[in-house]
Amino acid sequence: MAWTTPKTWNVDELLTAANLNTHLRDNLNALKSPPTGHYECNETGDYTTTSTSFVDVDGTNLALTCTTSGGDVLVHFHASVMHTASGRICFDVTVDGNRVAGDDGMIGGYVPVSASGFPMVQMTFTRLLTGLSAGEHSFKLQWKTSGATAKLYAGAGTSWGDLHPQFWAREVS
Amino acid sequence: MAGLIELAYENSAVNPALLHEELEAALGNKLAGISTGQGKVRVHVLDTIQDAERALIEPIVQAHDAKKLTARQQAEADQAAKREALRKPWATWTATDKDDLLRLLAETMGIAVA
Repeated sequence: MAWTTPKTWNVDELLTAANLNTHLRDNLNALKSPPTGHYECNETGDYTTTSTSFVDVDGTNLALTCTTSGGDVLVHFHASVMHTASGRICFDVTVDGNRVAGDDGMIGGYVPVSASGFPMVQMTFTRLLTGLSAGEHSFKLQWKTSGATAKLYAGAGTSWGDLHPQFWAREVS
Repeated sequence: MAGLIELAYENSAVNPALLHEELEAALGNKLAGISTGQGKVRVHVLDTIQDAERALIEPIVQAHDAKKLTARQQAEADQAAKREALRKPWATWTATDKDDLLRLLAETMGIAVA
């Protein structure tokens, strides 16, 4: 249910069912169920990349579509990652094909490797996106690595790495 | 500045580091990297790639053997095996074991050991 800018009521104005339904019921419904895209990973294999340029993590599933009313949108992502050779992993989001943060993205971290194993590092961000027009928008998660291989655990049954990342976008104003 | 294009192939068994090296040997700096997930390999290349170079990719992906290791992975596996061999009571350590430990530590610290 789309949001409608509430009308300004006048003194002695006749309340009609149509106006009440449009400006009260429908808007309350719109606030209760705002435009949302959501994906929680439960895959058959973890994601990996060797790309040193930003690429989609999964252009099909970690790709959300929301039809918004022109308000601000919150996007959120959380996951655990590892790296095969001590390196950096960076994440960004594209909106309608354009990266939000640019440069090295909106979040990144150095993932060390030691003789005792491959530590997991938690990556999470929540970002307010402003200035979006009303209409359909696509949000895609992207990542890159400084070299070697980055891995994102995706609920694929890996021992102690059977973790389920989540990516969502919701219009909040 | 050149953009990236993505070419997807079915292949669920991949050693990403090795496949990257194999593709890089054929494509040079036109390869940005590879990604895996959902049973697919996605090869990220510069959009300046030529048709002849593009034709090289699929045979390399299909011929890829995920059981093989890169030189770096083999070295890491060798180091891990040496570390495991040293997990024994100190009283049983030989002079060679101690040399091996020093060598492993030096390699870990990035000190060249002949």
